[in-house]
Amino acid sequence: MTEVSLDRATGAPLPSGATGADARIRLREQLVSLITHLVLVIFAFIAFGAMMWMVLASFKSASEIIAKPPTFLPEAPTLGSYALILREQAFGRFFINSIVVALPSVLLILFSSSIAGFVFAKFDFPAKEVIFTIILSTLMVPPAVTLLPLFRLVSRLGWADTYQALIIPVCVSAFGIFLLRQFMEGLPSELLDAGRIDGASNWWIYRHIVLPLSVSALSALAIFSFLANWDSYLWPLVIIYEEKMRTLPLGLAYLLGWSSRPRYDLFLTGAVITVVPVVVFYSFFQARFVRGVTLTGLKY
Amino acid sequence: MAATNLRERRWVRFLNRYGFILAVLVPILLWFSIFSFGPILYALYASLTNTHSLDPSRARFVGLDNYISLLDDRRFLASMRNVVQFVLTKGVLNIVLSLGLALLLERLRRGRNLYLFFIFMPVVISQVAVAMLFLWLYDPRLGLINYLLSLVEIPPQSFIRSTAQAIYSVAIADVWKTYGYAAVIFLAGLLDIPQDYYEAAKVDGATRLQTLWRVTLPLLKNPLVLVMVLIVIDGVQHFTMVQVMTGGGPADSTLMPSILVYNYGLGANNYRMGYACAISFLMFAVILVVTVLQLRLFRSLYD
Repeated sequence: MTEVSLDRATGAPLPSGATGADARIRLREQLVSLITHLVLVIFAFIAFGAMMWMVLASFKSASEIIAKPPTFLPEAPTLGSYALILREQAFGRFFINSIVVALPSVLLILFSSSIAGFVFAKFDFPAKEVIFTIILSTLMVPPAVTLLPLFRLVSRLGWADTYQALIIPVCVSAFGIFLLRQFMEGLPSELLDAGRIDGASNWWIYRHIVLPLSVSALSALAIFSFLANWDSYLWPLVIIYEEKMRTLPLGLAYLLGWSSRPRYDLFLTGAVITVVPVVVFYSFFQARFVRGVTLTGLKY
Repeated sequence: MAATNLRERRWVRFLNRYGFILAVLVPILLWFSIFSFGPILYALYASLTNTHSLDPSRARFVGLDNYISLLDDRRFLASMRNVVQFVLTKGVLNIVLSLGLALLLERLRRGRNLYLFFIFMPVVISQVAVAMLFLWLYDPRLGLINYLLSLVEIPPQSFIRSTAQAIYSVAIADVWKTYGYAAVIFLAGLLDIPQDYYEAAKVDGATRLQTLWRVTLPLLKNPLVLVMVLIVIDGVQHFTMVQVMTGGGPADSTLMPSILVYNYGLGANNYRMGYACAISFLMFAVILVVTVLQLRLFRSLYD
């Protein structure tokens, strides 16, 4: 360090040698870090602030929501829109419907994906790769292709307006089978062989060795299939007519046609009811959600 | 007697070997036949007929007529134009934002998870709920965005109510919901890059920008390709948010192919199942091409 550093403000030479340069580098680093945090806070605020504002708005009166200038905190907090939406629109029932559909769907996906993944990962049989490739290739087919044939099929079965119409057509997942096969191929075969030598059945090995070792892949799959199911809109829209069978996304969308003028108080309150369970769930398992993205590398 | 015994023994051996496999695969394949392969093949067949959605018994084979009529269908052409605009807008914004975000997050030593917690949250919430939120934000008279614009003296915009702005408005709403997902993929890719590379660049006297262009981005090729492909596949199929926010309007300016499949197939006075299935198969073709290109690209990247 031969050059003499000058203090920017005073023009006076800084303490010579490495310490001065160090101090300047440190100052610059601190400044960069400050700007980084500032930008990140803006990012976080745009994501979270909009949602927070929605939650706060659900506690405002209908007139306060459309007031100008808009208020951030509710001036007179009220549960009025919750009472209205639960009374007029059966959102309690929609909530229960969503859960009654999502839980069995997710459990069936976990079961079918893990047992089929086990068979594809750890057994040899004729035409294995052909069957697997055919199953996997259905992932490329957009839901719009099967929409109308499934609508015909499920209607013919007499399942319109039933829970099974929302569960059975989604209870097996090609993606889940793929994910679990990939994962289970990494499990050491010695563990399975040890069970075989002791005379354990394949079912026993699946149940007591393979499943417990696959928890991380299963939890990623559980999260993704739950989110997809909770979010599902197109299929229920097609196959559910009766109001009392609506799931939350469907009930929410039908609010649009409920009155001639947009009722933002109800829209936002309904949206909050729809997202709260997911956000609570997410708050507890955030790391798993985020890790799930990198593990699966695929959209749910 | 001996023959039956032998046959029985063979049967037992067969069951021992394949019994479990069959017990698992037969129901699984049965499900796929009924709810996946069957409907796909039926849709392909229907796309070559004039099948009515509610009464398929009168179907007549029409060959490629449906596909040919699509070329003259102004609504279909509009949906193609819209979906290209949607994917491009979404793609550019999504990648710029998520990559920028990932680069910032990578620099952090502490607090990364706290920021991720907030930024990833829109990814997990329901699309219909996001659509509701943005309907409100975009309201020309009552919405927050026009209020904020008025603070900096920008005249109110009509957003989803204007044919010129609607497609960009819905794309932006979609980006708000989805870019956190791409950011996580990019961040994982960035954290995989060995520190040695950066140190080598530093020793060579590379500036920050040079390091980004010459070191970071080339090493991020795989995540970049993955994200782009996901954006295209997702965008081509998009239905929910646009259907809820605009229903394809105003004047078909946000009409998407999926919405058209729904409208032609099940909309009142339409029920043109064959025609709708033809559209869905064209979407399938696009996705197929993109996927094959992706595989090619990945292969060439690994070589």
